[in-house]
Amino acid sequence: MNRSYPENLPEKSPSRRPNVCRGGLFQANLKAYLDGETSAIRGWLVRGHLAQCAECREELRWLRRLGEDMKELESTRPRPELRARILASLPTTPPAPGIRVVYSRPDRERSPLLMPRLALASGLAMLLAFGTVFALKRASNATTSGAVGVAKNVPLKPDQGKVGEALAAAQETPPAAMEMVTYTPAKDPFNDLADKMFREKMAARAEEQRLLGQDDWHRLLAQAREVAHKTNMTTPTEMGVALAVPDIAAVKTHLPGWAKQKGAELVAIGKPASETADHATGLPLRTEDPRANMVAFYVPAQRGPAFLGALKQLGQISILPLPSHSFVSAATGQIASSVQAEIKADGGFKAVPSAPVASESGAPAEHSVTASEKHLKTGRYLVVTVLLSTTHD
Amino acid sequence: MTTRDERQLVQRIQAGNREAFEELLDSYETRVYRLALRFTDSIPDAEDVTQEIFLAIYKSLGNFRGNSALGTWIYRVAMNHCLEFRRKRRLDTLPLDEEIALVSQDWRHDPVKSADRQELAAKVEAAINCLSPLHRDVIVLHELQGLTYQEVAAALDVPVGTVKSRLSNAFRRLRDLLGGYVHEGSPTT
Repeated sequence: MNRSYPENLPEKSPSRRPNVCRGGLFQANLKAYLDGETSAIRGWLVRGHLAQCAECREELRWLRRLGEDMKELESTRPRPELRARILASLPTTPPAPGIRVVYSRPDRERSPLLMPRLALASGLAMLLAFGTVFALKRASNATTSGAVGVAKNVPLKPDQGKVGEALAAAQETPPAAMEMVTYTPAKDPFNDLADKMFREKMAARAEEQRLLGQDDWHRLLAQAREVAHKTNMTTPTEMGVALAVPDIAAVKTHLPGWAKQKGAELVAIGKPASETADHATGLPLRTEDPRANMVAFYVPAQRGPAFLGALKQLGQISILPLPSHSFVSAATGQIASSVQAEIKADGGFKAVPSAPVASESGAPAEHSVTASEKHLKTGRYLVVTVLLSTTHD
Repeated sequence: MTTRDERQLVQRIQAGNREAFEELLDSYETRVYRLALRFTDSIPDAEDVTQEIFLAIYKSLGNFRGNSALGTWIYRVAMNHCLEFRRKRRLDTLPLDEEIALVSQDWRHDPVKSADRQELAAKVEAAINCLSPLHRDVIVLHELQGLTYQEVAAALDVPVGTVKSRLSNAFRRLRDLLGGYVHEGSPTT
């Protein structure tokens, strides 16, 4: 063990951290990459960057070492008496179902969904209140008219009305064995409400799809920013586009040169490797369209509209049903192992076995991402994932 | 423990089987205790909080529907109690520096560790305790308790992306605090 730390911890964070890549794009992902929690594309990009960046390799080593050291900190075990204390404190009655325990959440941020939930809850409460008043009014009317008349016509049995006897009889009857009962209401107006909201949402999404092409870049950008905001992601921002073309092979042949003309850079091309990915995107990439490909581009933000416009000239584009972040996460680990590929000189597609992992000894990886340093350093670019498939009939 | 095992265990506890609850303690007592110790910084308080947590778990197991893994649910309950403890203690707590010193001494006095390990652990420990509560929570749950990002997110009721960014920022802060670690240390690989 030859590690050491400085004697005194600094009180404030130093303004400059030595030995750290100044690009700022990948460091935010190094920890997640080390833990295997990056999206497939992002993990692949990080690996490519690590092959080129000695500083980030060193950062990765440091993260791993500190993580290992921290795991060794936890060696405390509770005293044996604690278990006896816990068991003695338990109530004698078994935990009863039906009592909902609500825990306070004092130290966390307010959920962004809280206000809509509160609004929905208060709306439902008002509906319930109106419904109750209405029902009471109806019941009151019934009691004063028809209900009494009917009751008068029903002959009473001898044991009815004797509440005490009925209760005694009930107590003598052994209770039935407890079993799980699933209650399904025949008609639930709130389900209808939820269905209606869902249908409206789907209709709005379909309309969005139809309108795609008018101001799509800015909308895509807004979507990507929303995803980034929700997930607290820093740059690079990811966005996903599905592109259906008549001839995949022809498009693929020209993709690298085409991307360069548009000011973008093709950094990854491959195939989604899992059914999960297909399911997540809703695209028939693997099962129905074996030629489909997934392509990742670096696109400088200022060239985004032109890039998307150029994409539209290649085929039909649409926003992925799920944000690209979700899409990529859905296939974590599986895409990464097969996404590596290269375009052959004749324009064909050749898969490259097993993604190369940047060795920590500093040796460059076999394949590396060739993104421009200027893009990486400015941070003003997007990772656009394009799912390439054949045009649907 | 598989989902089916968990469900059966919960059903046995709900039926009043004390031995089943002891099985649950076998699996989670140490982990919950360590978590509580992280938040309380004292063994008596950690024991009290652990007892409260398991009492709450027992009482509310009747409402456990199996929508999440049992472990995730237990961590959620435990985190709520730990955060509540922290919130209450803030009102009349020790200054931050004293807290750090107390915790650091606890670890330094562990007789099992060698002198090097003691020094190393003390510095890492002190650095962890210098983190903000939000950063410290994710470090404790992920690095020390071994929860996945998804489980940490469920325990803290935040998005997974938030866990990622907090962890990344926490490690950046640790790097600042332990600045010489990489330069002076020898590679482990």
